[in-house]
Amino acid sequence: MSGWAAIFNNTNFALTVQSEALARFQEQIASGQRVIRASDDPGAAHRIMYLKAFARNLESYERNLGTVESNLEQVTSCLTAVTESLSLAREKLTRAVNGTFSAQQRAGFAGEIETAIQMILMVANRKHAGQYLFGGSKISTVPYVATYDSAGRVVSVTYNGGTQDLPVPVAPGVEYSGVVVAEDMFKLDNPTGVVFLGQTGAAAGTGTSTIEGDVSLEVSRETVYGDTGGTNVAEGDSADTSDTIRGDHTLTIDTNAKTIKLDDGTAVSYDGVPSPTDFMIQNASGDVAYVDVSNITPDIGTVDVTITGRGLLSIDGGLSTHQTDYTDTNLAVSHSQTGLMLYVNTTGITQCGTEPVNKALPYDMFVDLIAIRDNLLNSDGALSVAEQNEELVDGLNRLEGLLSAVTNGEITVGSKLQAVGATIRYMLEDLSASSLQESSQLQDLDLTEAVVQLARTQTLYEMILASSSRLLNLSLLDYI
Amino acid sequence: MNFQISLSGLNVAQQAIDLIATNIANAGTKGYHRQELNVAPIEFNATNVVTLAGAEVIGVRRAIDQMLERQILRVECQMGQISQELMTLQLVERTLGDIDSNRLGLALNGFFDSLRELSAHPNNAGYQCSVVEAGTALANEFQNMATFTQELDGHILLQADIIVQQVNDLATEIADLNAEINAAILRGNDANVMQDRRDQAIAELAGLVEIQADAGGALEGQVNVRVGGAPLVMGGQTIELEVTTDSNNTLGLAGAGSSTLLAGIDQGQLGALFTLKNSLLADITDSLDLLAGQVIKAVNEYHVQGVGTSGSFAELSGWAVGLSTAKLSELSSDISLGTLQLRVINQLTGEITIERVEVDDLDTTFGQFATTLSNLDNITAWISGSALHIQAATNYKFDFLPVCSGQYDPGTWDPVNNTAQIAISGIFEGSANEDFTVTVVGGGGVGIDEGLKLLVEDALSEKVAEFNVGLGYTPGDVLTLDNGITLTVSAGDFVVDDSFTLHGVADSDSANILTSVGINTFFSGSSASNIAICQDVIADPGRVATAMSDTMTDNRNIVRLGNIADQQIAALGNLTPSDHYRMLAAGIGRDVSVRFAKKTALQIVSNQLANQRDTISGVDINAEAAKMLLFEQMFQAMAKVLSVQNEALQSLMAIV
Repeated sequence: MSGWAAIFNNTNFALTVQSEALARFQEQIASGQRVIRASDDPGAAHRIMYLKAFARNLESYERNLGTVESNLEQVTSCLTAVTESLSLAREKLTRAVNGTFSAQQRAGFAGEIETAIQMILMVANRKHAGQYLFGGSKISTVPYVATYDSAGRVVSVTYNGGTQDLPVPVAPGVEYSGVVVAEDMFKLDNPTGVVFLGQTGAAAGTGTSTIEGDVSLEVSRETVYGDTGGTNVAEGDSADTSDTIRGDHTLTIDTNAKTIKLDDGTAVSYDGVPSPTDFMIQNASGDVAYVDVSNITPDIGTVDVTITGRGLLSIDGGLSTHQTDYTDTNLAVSHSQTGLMLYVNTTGITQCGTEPVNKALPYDMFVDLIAIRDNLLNSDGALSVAEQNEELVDGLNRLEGLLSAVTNGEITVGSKLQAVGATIRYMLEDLSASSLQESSQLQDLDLTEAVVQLARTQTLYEMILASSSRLLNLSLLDYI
Repeated sequence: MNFQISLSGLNVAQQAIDLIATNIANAGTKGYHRQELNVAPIEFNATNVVTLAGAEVIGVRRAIDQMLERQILRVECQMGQISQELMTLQLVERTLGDIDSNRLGLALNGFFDSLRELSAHPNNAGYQCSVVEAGTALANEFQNMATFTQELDGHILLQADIIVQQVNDLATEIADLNAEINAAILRGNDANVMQDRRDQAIAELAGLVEIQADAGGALEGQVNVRVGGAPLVMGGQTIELEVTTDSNNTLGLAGAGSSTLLAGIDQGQLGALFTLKNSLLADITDSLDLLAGQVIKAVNEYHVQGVGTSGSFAELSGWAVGLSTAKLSELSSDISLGTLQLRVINQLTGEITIERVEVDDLDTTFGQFATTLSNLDNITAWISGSALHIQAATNYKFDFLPVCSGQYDPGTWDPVNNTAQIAISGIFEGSANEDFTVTVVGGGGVGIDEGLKLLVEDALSEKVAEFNVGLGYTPGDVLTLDNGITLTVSAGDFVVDDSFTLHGVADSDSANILTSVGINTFFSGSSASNIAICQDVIADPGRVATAMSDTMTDNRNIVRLGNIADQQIAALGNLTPSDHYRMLAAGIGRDVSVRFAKKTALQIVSNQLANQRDTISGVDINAEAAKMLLFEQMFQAMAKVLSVQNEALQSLMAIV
């Protein structure tokens, strides 16, 4: 036995320890949390604070996402309205072009075109949540400003919006714009995109082609012989169609031994060959040339002859051709009659043939619609019916391009909306849920365990009180 | 018959019972050591024959184990230290807030969230105001914490003064007791009670400050006390101590009037207060100041270069940094060699002039720099109230947008024959300012002559891009470099081999002048105690710099401001601002947790030592009761013996 005072010390100490434990359990149970402050579990606290801050960050991204999504929904809705208006305009125009209508009836069509113009103007100037949707980053500026004639018809429309969109952070490292640059969709001044649709291997050059619509690019070739050195060697019958050499090559003719070789290929005998006017020779790389060896002058020694394989391109049906040694990245091929230009990259040409090429027509939404309306009106009678029809057909072609652009724009915005609304939103929700779940696992209290511990500690506390009371009451003085 | 023998026995029994009563009376007295009678037989020497003649009390000794007492002192000292540190750190932790309510962390996140949300609504006054409010909340939380740590510093000083006064009082008491004990010993009196009082005073002193207590010295029975190796109590003399700071602003203990701090004062409450003031709290304050300073710097570095929806500026004023005669290097250590780019806009014509001010000598004075700015057309700058003021002329405005520009030197660019105009636009995406050389290749008419190109090379003459501007190019078409810069070329002619410099501007204030003197900044101040939102921004939230392109309608600046939240800042140990804060908060939590564990362990040891001491020095009621019975019987027996002796003598007298 360690002494009466020791009993007192132990009682005091144990009661202090257990009462502190009881207070701690009570705090945990009341809050439902195991980790309330950093000192409860510093490592877990650091992680919990990070996860909760991350979840809050994700909430701000979600709010931005909501803004972008809301804007894009409006943009989609607006583009649908524009498409409908343009479709209506096209319908009217098609009827006007195809049918026989009086001036008054055409004026009626013009009125409907004007309605479409006003409608599109209103839609293009749509404002949502304080932001103009179609002016790019200039969200405080009315994108389109119109001037009107005395009859209230739109005379001109000027774009005052921005040329860049407004990328907004919607997820960590991800930005999307909820506004669009309408001019990118409603106007195409200098269409640069030339599409090559054939199999020759020709591609667009770096220059700005001026062709419009559909054009056929004729790709052919020829083999040109330089100084033959008196050998009289010439191109074979099928050289133009079957030679595969590109650029300069060397024919080495040994007129004494009657052999011929192409570049570093094997020298072959041309004496007594079955088709001397169309003799095929090949170099080590596999390039082929067809040669006419029927008239080669014998016994004049060994002669080197330079032959050049080059391409010939034409967009005017062969009226003019343009040569290439297949190293041109920006060969200018012009139309001899119209002066229009097509820039071609010839480095990938592998075969001859006809290459269909298309370049979109330029268009300008409001300019084209106003022009169509004015043509229908023909208010000063300046145009004859034939001239009017011709202008209207041109307008119809431009309208087609416009409709296609707006439809493509609708699809682009729609896919963006899909990405924003589904993929990114799902990702944010998933990240947020997993963060909160992990922080909950780290922080939340196991209530069952806590209650059991509390009961145990409480029992221990009572036992300490009871035992110390019993022990401290015993004394020899009671028996003296 | 020797009555003295009986009397001596009665005397011993009486003294024993008195001592037992004293022990029982002091059973609960703190610091009391049980006293025991030292009884010895009386020796009577008659002509070299020793005869026992009763018993006498030769002394009263304390039941004490000096080694145990020293151990207890050591634990008291450690307990005093740990308790003080724990209490103070818990206070700091509570002020920072719980995990879910840590105000500074929430304010920091809230500020960057508000910037992020403004990027989606850059023209919305409500969101602009939210940024200002969030910034203000952040500044307030920093200031609150700074004020708290400053006040805590003050309290620590006050508490240290109070404790050192207690130390001095206890030292005086110990010295007085030393003298009294010595006097009592010299008189042959019992000094046990005074020794107990002295030991108690020493124990109290140990809890306050780390001491070494040793017996010895000129006076018998004295205990000398040393603090940090220096004497505090020497016999009956004391040396007064005081709390002071040395030249390094380190708080410590020194002799009264001395500025040399005593070494090794780590334990006890005083040691804890010194550690808290000099190290623990100082580190927390430094960490908060570092965080605030870096947030201010990072935000301002971007903010100075942008404009808000309020647009360019008619005038701007900075904050007080120094006299006009002060050198730039003295104004701020952040100012370095570099370039400041201004745009000056004619409001009437729309003409924009881009001016570049080179900072190439840090010994340039503040006033000289203002003069350099004033030498720019349509700009006036001056120093007033130790602050820089910049003003545009009437119908002019200015800003510091990091727009790219071209520099056409007459030596390399023929201004007459180069008739084509080059417009430079876009946002340079490089990480640092970079100059490029644009050289005309081929020469001729734009859009007309084949082979006319513009060759763009970097500073190492490496080709960056080559653009066809001859045949095939349509004047006005946009030419885009991979680094974000765009060029458009008008119709006209270019002279072959002419060249100009294209400035790719990533930072229009690469010299850090604007951030250092407070021009177009978002925050003012440099630490947690003085961080605030600039008044210009509070007055006009449209001044929050959302844009950084020449159109002034983009949101790139506010996006990059929001991205600071995820930016690893070198000065913060490559941590983001929020990570740095979390490390600080978790670090404080760890310090509290460690000290709590230490305190619990010390309490167990202390309890065990107390039990051990009570076994040796404590009063066991049952043992004293048993001894009381023994001496009571002894007293009764001696009284009986005396009575018998008396009766015998009476009988003898009757015979005579």
